[in-house]
Amino acid sequence: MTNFFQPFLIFFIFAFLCLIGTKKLCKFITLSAPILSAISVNFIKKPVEFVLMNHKIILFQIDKINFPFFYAFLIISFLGILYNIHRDDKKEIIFPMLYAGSAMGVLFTGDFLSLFFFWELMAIFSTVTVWLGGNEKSKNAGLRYLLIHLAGGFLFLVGIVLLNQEMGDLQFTTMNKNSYSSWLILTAVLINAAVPPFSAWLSDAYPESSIGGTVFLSAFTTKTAVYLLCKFFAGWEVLIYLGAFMAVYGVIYAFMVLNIRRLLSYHIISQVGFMVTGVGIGTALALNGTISHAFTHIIYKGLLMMSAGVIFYATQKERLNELGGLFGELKIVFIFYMIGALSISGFPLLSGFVSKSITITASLENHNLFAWIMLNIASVGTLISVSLKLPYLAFFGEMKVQNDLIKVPQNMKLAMFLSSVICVVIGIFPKLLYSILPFDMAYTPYTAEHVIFVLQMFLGAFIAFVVYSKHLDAKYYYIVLDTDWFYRKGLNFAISLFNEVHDEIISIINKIFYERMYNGLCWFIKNPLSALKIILEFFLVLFGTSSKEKELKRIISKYPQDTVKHWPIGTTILYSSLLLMIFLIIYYMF
Amino acid sequence: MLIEKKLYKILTLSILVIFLLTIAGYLLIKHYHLYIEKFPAFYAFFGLISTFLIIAISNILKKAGLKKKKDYYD
Repeated sequence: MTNFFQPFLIFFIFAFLCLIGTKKLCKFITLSAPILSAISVNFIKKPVEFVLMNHKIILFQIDKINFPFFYAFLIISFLGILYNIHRDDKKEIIFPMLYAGSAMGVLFTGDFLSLFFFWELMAIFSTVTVWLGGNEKSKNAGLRYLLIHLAGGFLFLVGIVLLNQEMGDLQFTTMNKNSYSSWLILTAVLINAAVPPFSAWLSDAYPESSIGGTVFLSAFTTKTAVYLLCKFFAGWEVLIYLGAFMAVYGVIYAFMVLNIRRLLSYHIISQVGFMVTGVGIGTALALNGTISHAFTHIIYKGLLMMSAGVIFYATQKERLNELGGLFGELKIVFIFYMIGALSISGFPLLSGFVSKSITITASLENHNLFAWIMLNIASVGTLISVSLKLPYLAFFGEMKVQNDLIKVPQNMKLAMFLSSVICVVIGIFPKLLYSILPFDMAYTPYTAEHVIFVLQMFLGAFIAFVVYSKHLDAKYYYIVLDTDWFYRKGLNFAISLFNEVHDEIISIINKIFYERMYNGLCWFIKNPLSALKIILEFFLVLFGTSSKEKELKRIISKYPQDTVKHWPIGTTILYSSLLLMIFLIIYYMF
Repeated sequence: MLIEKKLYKILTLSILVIFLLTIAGYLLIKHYHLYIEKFPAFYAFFGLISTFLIIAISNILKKAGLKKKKDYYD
């Protein structure tokens, strides 16, 4: 019986209870779902499995890798629900819970069929979570999001079918680099991990959700993809380069955009780049780095999204050109935000430092200088846009928000406070985090060189930013094109191009069949004999066998001449009698 | 003028801290991963240069046509 209450099912049951219950009941019970899940997992002693259509379905199995992710998911679900709980709209709780539940389903499955099932559930519920934004923009962004994820899901399905043909069953196996199925599955997972050029769905859709929805969105989809990468694709070298590239790609875009939640979304891409690089390196240290980074990232990104949400909630604005001078009004939010921002930048004594430095050290120990340089640049980029640009433009300078600020509910502040506490505690006591990591490692984050080097790097970046800060481009709002242009504008462009070509072809056909041929036939039947003569002469002249060009021009100019032939009457009678004679002969002979 | 003064103060302070950190580094750090890390305040230069690099690339991309008006997609 205890096997029945798996984490995903508990979330689904509570979402259902929320659906049928009153708002009060919903607020009262939902916070217990993550806690109950945490408890129930300890009672499930053996893998939960059954046979369906000759396939062994494993719904629940614990391995070393999925447990750290599970803890992080539980924590962020709890904090996210707490952050959302003041809302009277039950949707704001139900769909994120279903989304979190299906993400946990993905974590614990032990075969590809059930993995695919939860994978698609996650795509659907995350789309609905994007739709929580409740306006036209979020509706369209959600549709685009769904489009990309269904395409990814399709690749995943094809990969699984091929794998089934190769292996004969759908159990988890190690991936073979020489088979199409693993590359298809890898592509599908990379789409979910937001690896460029498939990253635009993230920065496009996440900022359009509701402020509570974004907290959930920032946690699950990309991290489940990182989990699958850790599980199946550890040590695939291509991931090092993809990850290093996306880490820098994210920070460059983040520095350009002005919407605060979009800026933070680009930093999800960048931070996932660290994790993907770690998976590509594939050593025990690097994988530990990836998993610990995923853990800390979920918490501090949640905190940052919560802070961005609070800014939006209080001011009803989230574009950096419209914000400014909020420090006096939202001091407490500023403090929480800065804890999150310095965590993501990897500042000593905060959670990002103890996880990010593992991956960077692993790249160095693996002698991968390219990854090392790119990841360090990404660290600097994270610092300048999250810890310097955003607070500089939103919290300092002149106050641009005219209307009175809306009071921030206590539960939002509490959720942010708890997230900050976790960031600080992990930063000060990294052993707590390291104890749940899957592989043994001898790594100490707080060595003199780590701390000194990081501080030096940050001060260098700080000096550069201070020098540049006057020229920051935030006078008016603009958008920056990403690869989503191809399916938002590019497709229209292609269709209009196709239409133009199509119109051109149709007009040529019209010209040939309805103008030229019609006119030609009309011309021909005016005097067919003479016309044939002209055509014959024309070809003779064309091929140079006749030199009667002047003669030809004369005939053409006179065409169609006199169409009535003037015969003498005797000739007509002669022809008629000849014809009659031929008839007579035929009649008598046969 | 006041802001300018403040700015110079901040910059001087940062450079001073980097200097102190460099000295501390020579005293405390026993093991270097890379030879180049021994260069005085290597990481400060790294941070400085990569910040300018990121700013330059983002400005180039914006100039190259990625920056559009806010109603571009409407």
